[in-house]
Amino acid sequence: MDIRKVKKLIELLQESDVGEIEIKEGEESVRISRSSSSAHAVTQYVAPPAAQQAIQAPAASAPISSPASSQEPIEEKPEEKGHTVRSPMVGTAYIAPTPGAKPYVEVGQRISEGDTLCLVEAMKMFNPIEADRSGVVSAMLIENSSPVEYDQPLFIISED
Amino acid sequence: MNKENEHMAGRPLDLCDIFPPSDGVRIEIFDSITSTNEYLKKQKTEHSIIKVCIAEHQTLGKGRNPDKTWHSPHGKNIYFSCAYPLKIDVSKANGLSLVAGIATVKAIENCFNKTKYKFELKWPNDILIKGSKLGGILVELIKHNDQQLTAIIGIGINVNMTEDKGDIDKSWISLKQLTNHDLNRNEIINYLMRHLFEAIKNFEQSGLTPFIDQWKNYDCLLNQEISLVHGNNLIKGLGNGINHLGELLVKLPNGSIKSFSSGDTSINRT
Repeated sequence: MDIRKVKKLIELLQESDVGEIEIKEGEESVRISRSSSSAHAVTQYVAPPAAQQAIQAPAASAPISSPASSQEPIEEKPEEKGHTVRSPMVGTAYIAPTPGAKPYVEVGQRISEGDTLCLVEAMKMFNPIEADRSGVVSAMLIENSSPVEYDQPLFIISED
Repeated sequence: MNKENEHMAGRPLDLCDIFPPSDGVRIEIFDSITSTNEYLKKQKTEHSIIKVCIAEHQTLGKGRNPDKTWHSPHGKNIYFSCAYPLKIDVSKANGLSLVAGIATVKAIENCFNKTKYKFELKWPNDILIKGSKLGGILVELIKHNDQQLTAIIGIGINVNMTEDKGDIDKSWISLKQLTNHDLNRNEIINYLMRHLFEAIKNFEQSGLTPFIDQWKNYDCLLNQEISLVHGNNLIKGLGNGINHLGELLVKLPNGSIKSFSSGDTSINRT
């Protein structure tokens, strides 16, 4: 399974009330659960326990994952704590205004709300992605000219 | 071009000859400007007004790639941009550049009594005739603090430009080269505004669906052996139209069909 897909699933889990996700694709399957020792890494996203339990119930009745499944929780990188800026559309991300130009922002840079972080282009329609809060760019999750999906995390902005 | 308008051909852009197709359209003409898109991007937004900027000459024609410059002689072509306040969310805006392309081709077709010329669209943003580039579209979105979205739609059309001495670039063509006479740019702009604003209104209401069949009528890549360059990747296959998101469909040599949302296309010449 594509590691980017796994990463996306983790993000999905973090942002939702869901306690566990299990995905099967042919022979492969992966189960990602937040009720683990790495929970501290995602504390800020964890939903109230009541909501977690309620949604975990159907997951428990799901078929038991195959031995190939990765049951080890994938550790979150500490620098990914913070506010996630996501792509509002499918397209290609560009980190600089023109090829060869200086990137809009670099990791570690302090930014203000409204600053352009990157462009997402589809069919020659360019959409500047702006920071929706001030802070420090703690992670750039895309490479220049990389394809991005709807709602894919692009940047992490940490608090000042 | 209508006979009675022939004496108007080749005239400068003139606000006396350009008519807003509806209320709430504000038009400005410049003799020379860096880029019509850049100008509109810097203007204060008024959500109820469509702003149009037209110039006789652009010093910094807009394009992402600085290697691709748009030849911009004074007083010959159309450099048109509009700032259109959209009533849709950014997630629904994909395909707007294709809609603008269809509207532009229809506007150009309107200027001829007979449809004796076959204008084509090359995904995603080129207007072609006889395989050469007649014009192009570039759309930039602006999101305002109140979440309102404005589309800056830039449209360039080669109208009365002729080859400069020593110019060996045959990749472009103008309407004058096609018809052997000057055309009235003011008239084309009137048709362009009418078709473009109608098309965007339709797109806001119904999405890309009504335009997919229209695109097929102009799609020069359909059933052609094409190349798509995206970053360092080169994809070769058969053009298979567009999907409901406006993405290019390519039938790969293994028979599968893949969709692409970005890239530059060309027809493979054998």
